[in-house]
Amino acid sequence: MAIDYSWQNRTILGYHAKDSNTYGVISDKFPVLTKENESMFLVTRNHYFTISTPQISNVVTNFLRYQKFNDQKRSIGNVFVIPGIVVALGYILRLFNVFQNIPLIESFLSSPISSLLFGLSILSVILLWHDYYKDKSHPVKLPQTEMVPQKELEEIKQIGFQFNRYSHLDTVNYINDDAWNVICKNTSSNKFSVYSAFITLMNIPAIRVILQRADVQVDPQELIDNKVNSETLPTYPATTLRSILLYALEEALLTESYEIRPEHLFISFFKVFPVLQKLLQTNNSSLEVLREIVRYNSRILKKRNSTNLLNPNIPYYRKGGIGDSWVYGYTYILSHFSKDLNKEVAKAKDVFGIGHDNSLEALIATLGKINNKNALLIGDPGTGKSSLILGVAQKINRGDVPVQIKNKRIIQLDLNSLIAHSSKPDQNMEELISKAMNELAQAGDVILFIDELQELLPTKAGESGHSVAGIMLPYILSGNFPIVGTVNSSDYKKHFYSNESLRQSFTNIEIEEVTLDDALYILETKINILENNFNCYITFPALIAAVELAHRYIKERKLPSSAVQTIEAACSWAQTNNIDILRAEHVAKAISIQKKINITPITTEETTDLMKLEENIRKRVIGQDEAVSTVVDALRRARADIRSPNKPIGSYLFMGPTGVGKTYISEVVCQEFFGKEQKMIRVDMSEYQELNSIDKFLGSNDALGQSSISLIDRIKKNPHTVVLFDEIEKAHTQILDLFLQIFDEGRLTSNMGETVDFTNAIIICTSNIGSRILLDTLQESNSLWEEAKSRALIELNHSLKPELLNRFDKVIVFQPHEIENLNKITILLLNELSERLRSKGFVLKWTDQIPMLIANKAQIPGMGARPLKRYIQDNIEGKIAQEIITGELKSGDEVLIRESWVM
Amino acid sequence: MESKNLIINNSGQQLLNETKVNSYFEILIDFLKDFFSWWYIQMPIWHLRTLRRVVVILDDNLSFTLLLRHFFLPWHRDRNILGYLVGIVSKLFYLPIAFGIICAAIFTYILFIFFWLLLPPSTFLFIIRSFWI
Repeated sequence: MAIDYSWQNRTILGYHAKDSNTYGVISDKFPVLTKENESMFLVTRNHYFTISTPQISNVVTNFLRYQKFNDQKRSIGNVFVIPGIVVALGYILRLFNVFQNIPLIESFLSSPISSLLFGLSILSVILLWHDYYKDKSHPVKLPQTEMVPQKELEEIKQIGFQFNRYSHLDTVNYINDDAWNVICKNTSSNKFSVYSAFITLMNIPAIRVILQRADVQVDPQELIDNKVNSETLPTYPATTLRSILLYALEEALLTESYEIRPEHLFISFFKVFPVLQKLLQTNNSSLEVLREIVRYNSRILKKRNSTNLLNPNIPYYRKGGIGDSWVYGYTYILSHFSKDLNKEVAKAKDVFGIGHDNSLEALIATLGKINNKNALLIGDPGTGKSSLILGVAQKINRGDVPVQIKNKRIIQLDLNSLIAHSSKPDQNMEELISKAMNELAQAGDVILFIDELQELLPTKAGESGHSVAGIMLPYILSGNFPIVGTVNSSDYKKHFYSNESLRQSFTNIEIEEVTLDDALYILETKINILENNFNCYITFPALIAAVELAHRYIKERKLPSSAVQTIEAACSWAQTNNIDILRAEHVAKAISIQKKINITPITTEETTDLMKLEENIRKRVIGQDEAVSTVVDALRRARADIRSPNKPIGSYLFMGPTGVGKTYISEVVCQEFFGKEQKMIRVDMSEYQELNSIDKFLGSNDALGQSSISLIDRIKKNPHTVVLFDEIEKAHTQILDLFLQIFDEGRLTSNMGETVDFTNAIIICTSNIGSRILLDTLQESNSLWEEAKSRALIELNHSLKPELLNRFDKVIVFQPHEIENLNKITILLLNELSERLRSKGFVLKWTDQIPMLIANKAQIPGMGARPLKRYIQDNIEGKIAQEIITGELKSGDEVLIRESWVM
Repeated sequence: MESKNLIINNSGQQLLNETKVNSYFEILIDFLKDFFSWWYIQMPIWHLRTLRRVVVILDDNLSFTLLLRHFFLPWHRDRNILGYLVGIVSKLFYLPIAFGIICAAIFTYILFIFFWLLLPPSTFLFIIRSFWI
């Protein structure tokens, strides 16, 4: 599943045709307007931006002159500062009579020249201060964009733009000097050269860093190969700068930037010009990746700017100070088995609570209530329940919370320390807890946080036999201080449903899995820590791959935890293999190793193997070509990753008489594609005839059942394999109903509540339904194969539920073997015997007639290939074994299969 | 920067050639206007806002308003005679000191603002005086 970066519906580009006075929306293609009677504008939730040629020409004509003036002013200022510093130093030293004995310096310092130099240096400092600080003290900031509501979009489509609803802003005010520099240097004689502007931008260090982060190689040869030149990036009349600058503005707004910088111009070129889009595609990249990197850079810049507390442009949130602790009570006893999360979060450089804005608001609202201010965070493992409470602590540290919870401390109870502390000779757990709870009530500024709250419930408080939760319950119910707990969804059902009073004393807040976009943001906040720790450079495609592949393949943990684990595993693998730059394929490799699924890009060698797969399987599976090509097609689709990711690789039902290869084909496919025959998971459905055998499928909930291995356990251990359900018609119908979920959604939920992923398995079911009909019909001399097949399928429809049959990708009816096929199978079996004998040092030989003789002799109509095996075993292997034992055959001898053995 | 753009009817194509190019003298005048506006209008306002921020930071870190609001609260919420006594006495000693620090900071910054306003003319006078001497 691709990441939704939520770029849509934040900005609307429109055009105005002045001649006909019509307005329209620019959506799919991005034109470059050359005529003055056409103009463009950009609309956001609250503003609309315009730009005109006179505004641009104002700047373009004079920008370079003003820049030259400023450069000269700066140079002169720098020149005069240095002598001024020397003179000032001289003045200071003169105060201490250092130059008493050096009349030359004394006279110089008293002369008008030194005063002049000193005065000029102060003037220079003033001018340089103005030059450096005027943009910092009064920065022009682009407003932040919000999502335009769907209702407004519909209104715009029907009625048109209502400009009086928005405030008007001029685009030129938000373009920074570096961007103007690029534009001015590439505009001359009334023309703007896109190609030379592109080359100028490519040489800017910040843009080189973006390309490096995006893992996009753009060297001169690459540009030539992709036909990036002055023809494909043409020179336009200067009036086209209106369009180009508006596209750059759009990029600046989408990437949460304060101003339009050269990198926004750069990525807007990729949006407008098809040749540059193609360049990205050849580098396996996209505009979204470049944009996300620019957004990441904007966020870092914002964070850096927000650290200066004295800057009045940045909000300041009161935190409390020296007297804070005077006003609130001690928590002396509690501090022995708890930790202060506010202090921990203040030291950490991470951002917490990303992707849980609604839950964060709900939690803060609950904590600020007068009554019932306890909250229980319920969610699956890895969704970020603990991160949410750290996010609240971070907000409290910043002061960005309502007055009811301002200056509060969040104390996390450490249950293990509590138990350890209470085990001391002079301590009693009940007393300890009571004292700690009283401290909390008295302190007035504490929020108690208990992670994994369900652990409290069974924990007994020493000799009293009461549970810790039971002792704490009166304090929980009293509401003297807020308590926040976390619990997994499955544990909530197990422990809290039955305990009415405990359940009622908490407000439940569901914590959902974060979106892929938020998971990517979380990984972005960890880039520096990961790079420093693992000493490798992380590209954005690697981060994106970590999020997408974790979401797809690691179903046992939710985002963001699965993505974080994936990227850490990939970094660790890269470090072990001396890789300096972490790319998407390295992340795929790390997941392939972890999940035993091959998701790395297809190599040349693998292409050959995949194309030869059908041929290789047909050498071993004789006479069932339809089944072989169906299964191989599914495997090729899976390897090329163009199949549906939410279903198994394929689900097939093989039916037919016994011994025709229904099970054998599964073994061969497993060996040829997955590498090992033993990897196949084989389930004999005749063991599931009773309903109570469902525990063998789904695992058992009780302590005894947990010791046996269920199908769920086997799939978890080996998710990328062939799963063979043999003789499904023998299973109980309610057990067969489980297949509906497996085939539709590729998952199954165990009795323990865990979801197991079948999307990387190929499922083959076999059935003997209709085999008697097939044999009987074929034995009638004037019956055709198609008629026999139809009658068998009718029998199948009567035996299995239609909703189950309908979910198979294909139902294949295996034909009974004819004599030619039996001959080929005999040759295969003799080859296998020959291999076994070769390992013992014997060479097995036979004449051309032998296989056909065996096939004719051994065949039993309707029994398939098994009689051949038995015949060879009894008549060939038996004879050879006898000769080996009697010493007639010695190692190195040739063994010729005699006709007498066969006849 | 000022310009006069004339739209010439040439298939609607806008020409930039009519844009006025500013001379260096005009650029210098623009710079001086910008400088004095920034130094004497924008920056004093900015300094006053910064002064307000400094007061807020000091008040927050010294907990002046917080302790004043909770003047009669006992020390660490120990609700006994000793707690009340320690609470009030400690605040009686501490609050004037905190107030003094805040006032000193305000006075210093106001002095700095005056210094800021006087710096350019005094620099010019200093330079002129050096010629005079």
